[in-house]
Amino acid sequence: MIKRYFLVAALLCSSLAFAEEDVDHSLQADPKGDVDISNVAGSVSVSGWDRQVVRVTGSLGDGVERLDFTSEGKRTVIKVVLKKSTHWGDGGGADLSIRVPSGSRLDINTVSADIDVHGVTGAQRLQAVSGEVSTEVGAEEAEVKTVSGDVVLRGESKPSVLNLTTVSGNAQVSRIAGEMIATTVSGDFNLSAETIARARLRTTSGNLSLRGALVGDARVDSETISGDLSFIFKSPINAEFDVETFSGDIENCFGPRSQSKSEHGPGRELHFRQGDGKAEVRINSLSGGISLCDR
Amino acid sequence: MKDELQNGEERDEVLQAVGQLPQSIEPQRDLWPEIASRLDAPVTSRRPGVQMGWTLALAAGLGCMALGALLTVGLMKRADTGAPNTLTAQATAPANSATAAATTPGAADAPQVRQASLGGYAMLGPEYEQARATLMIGLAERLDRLPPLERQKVERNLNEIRRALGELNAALKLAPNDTLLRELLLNTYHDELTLLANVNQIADSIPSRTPS
Repeated sequence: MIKRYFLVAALLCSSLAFAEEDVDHSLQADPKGDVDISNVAGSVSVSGWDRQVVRVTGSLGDGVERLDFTSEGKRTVIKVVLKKSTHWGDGGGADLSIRVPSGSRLDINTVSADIDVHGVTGAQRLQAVSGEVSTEVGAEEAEVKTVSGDVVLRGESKPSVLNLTTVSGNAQVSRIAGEMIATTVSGDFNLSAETIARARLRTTSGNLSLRGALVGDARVDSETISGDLSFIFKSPINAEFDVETFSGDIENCFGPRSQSKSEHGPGRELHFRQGDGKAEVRINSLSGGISLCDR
Repeated sequence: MKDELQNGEERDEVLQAVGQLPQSIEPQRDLWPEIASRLDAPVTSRRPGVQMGWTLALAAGLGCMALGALLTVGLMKRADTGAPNTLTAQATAPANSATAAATTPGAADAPQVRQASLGGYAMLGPEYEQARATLMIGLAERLDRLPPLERQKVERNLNEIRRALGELNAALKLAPNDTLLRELLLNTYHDELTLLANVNQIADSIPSRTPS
């Protein structure tokens, strides 16, 4: 009998310990308003719809103190507030599914919570520490920052401005167009663009590849210390190339071969003009290898 | 050498030898076709930025970097409004970064502010040095807000940048006039600042918790 009481008590305790609270709230919102979302752990999934309403559904973990959800003027705030006693990895997060007017501007901050955005055409500012970020971007500006979280970003081939920064997170970017700034310390970036107008790419030790068509007066400026850089440009290529390494190799599959910078040093350089050369491609490396190719 | 040439005998010998040199030397092949083809080739400007001279470019770069650093710190100071007084005190730390780190309460665990080459960080200007010191001190406090695993990753990547700075400085010792190395070094200093500022900003954005 006593054993049975213990069992019931234990089950109650365990169910309380893992108690989750379901939420379903809606508020009127501006069709092109700002939506600020913050969550620590769990997930944040945002999708656009054609209603002027922000709807939040999902579940809050036991470490969550409360969910703040307010809308005032053009600004809607959704904020998961944790209990002070919640520690990292305690499961104190929330899984949120949020519908917003499709023209909303998003500002999302998480720690380990993954971010998933689709169907939102307004500007996006997405930031995570270790959470993974997956998003679709249209013609508006997008800024994505993570420490170690990986990034998957899909464009719609519309000219826009992308600013992507990770410390060690990897990034997979496809169908973007226009301008991009991509910076990482040790992450590997794989960037595929429909058209490239401006690109500033920097890596310390991560590998980075860029594929796409250079527009008429495109400017590509890229630098690495020890990571490898790979470029595949769509033919016909009309650009002037200035490529230089201190000790890395340079491979070129469509223009002249690189030359030694000096008789005895390990450095290589490659300067040439392809087509009318209106675009400019400048690549520098300390010891990382550089590869140029066309398709 | 001058004195030696003033010696009459030797001077005569030198003059005699000079007199025996041929008036002109004909090349073994006709060089003109190659010269003409190069003259006809389209003019390609190589690295227009480098043409102004690396010293000027370096000075301009340092100026921009110091300005950027000041701007970053300025923005962070604004973001810190309402933060504990200790942070405000840290933001006005003296230019001597090592002293600042050692004397500021709570900064004992701060990653060490290392001296670098290119004349050390001091050569990058006092504003840059102060901006970096401020970011470094702020970083220690902000790193505590990150999960332990992420903290390690940030520290590992900061070390990665410092390793790159070490490699660049070592290479510069071998080739002190290499413009590529100087440009990479300058940009890597900038990367370090950017990483510090980004991590600080991300840590500042971490959702808050209520008192227990």
